[in-house]
Amino acid sequence: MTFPVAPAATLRASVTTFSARPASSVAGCFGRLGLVEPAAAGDLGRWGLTLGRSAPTGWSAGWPGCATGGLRRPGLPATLGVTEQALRAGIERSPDLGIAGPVRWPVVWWVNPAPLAAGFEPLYDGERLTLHLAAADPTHRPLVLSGVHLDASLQVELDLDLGLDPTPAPRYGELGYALARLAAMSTRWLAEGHELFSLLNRAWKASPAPLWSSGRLHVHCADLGERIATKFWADGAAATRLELVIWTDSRGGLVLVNAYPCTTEHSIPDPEDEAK
Amino acid sequence: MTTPPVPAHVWESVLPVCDGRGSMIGTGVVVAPRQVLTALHVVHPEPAPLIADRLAVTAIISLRPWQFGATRRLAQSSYQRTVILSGADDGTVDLALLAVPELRAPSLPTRRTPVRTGELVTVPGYPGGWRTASHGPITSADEADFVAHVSLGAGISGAPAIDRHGRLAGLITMDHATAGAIAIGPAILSAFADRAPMQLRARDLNPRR
Repeated sequence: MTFPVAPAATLRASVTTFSARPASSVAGCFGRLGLVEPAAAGDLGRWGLTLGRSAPTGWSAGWPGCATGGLRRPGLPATLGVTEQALRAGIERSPDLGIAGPVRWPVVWWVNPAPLAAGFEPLYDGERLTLHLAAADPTHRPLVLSGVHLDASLQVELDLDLGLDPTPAPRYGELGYALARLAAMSTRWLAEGHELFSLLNRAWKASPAPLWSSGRLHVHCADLGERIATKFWADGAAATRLELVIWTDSRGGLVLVNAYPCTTEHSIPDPEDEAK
Repeated sequence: MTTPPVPAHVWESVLPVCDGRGSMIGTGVVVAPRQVLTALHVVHPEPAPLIADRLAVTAIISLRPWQFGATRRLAQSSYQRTVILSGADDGTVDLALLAVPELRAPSLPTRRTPVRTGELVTVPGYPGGWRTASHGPITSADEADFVAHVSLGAGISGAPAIDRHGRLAGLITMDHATAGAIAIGPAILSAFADRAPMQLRARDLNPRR
């Protein structure tokens, strides 16, 4: 059995200050899994460890550089303030979403501009800030970027009261964390010259119907007609298709929970099949 | 639309694991009648009582690496990996079997063969207390553990990675920022599924142990 290892540049991006252990003690143990450093690995079952702890209190300090690097685009600021007016305009453009308004919100939401530049629109649904991407067919529901599947408790970080502090340091809450995770994971496979959120836009518009559904889980697949990714887990094979994994939340929103280069491994046999 | 690679009935076998106050602390999967598999760090050292799908947990079983028999070397490797990656040390492999006598949910079969990179797995669970699922490819694997391109939040520990045949192929224990979910693989899971119930039966026969 061989164990594919991501390109060196990707591995370097995974380094964080998580562990005080010397890297040499880690490399032998994790090299075979392609994880040369403890990085931001952490416990997911409790709030208190690693990702859960670091995210609400300055997570970006310990976050691998690729998280912000993957989101950054030339000519755009590192973050973008989404004002009440922008939110209200977004709601007015999407009256079918059932979001109440008009309401005044004493906050400014800081969102990385990359998804906004790619066509996503910010919307506040009364509980949390999300980004919506319209479908190609206006009768279809929009695709939603939200952090609820990662950690609903992180949304408190979004409250920035400009009345108390005229120059608050931008912080990232639930949504920012979700965007960073999507971007961070895409750095392992995204092809040079492509931007994740633009690809999401193109894939969503190009795949109006799911490839398959199981309950509330739906997988869409779109062929974008050019090399968009390198599948490091498949000997660097080029991919032209992107799969979008979507979970229908309790209110019917189509929340994007994963995206990766579309594979042909649906037909990979496992040893038991081969023995039959 | 193609046939879903994951059968719809698997959702019935995935449960929230809660502390005595009803706060969700992880995810579990039914692997045998009245038996739920989860990550050990979800329930240890959580004080009693524990609740699985609103039902009382009456016993928690874990195994030391040497108790995994022929797979003890893999068990030791997975244990060490967990300690170094997460910084948490529960003293053994990050697996726990919960006895839930009143549970009626169907169980998932455990896969006995190794996973391969490129295979797709589905991961249902309760991150943040919300029922959610994701799906993605296995991007690397060795005999003990594997990594899947899936990211779900706190509370997904103990969630199953289900293969396209509806079998339990892995149990999610950790997360990596750029790689995704880290799971204990089928070799260790199947050894645990074979041996932990014996400990449970021994405990039932001699409750003072």
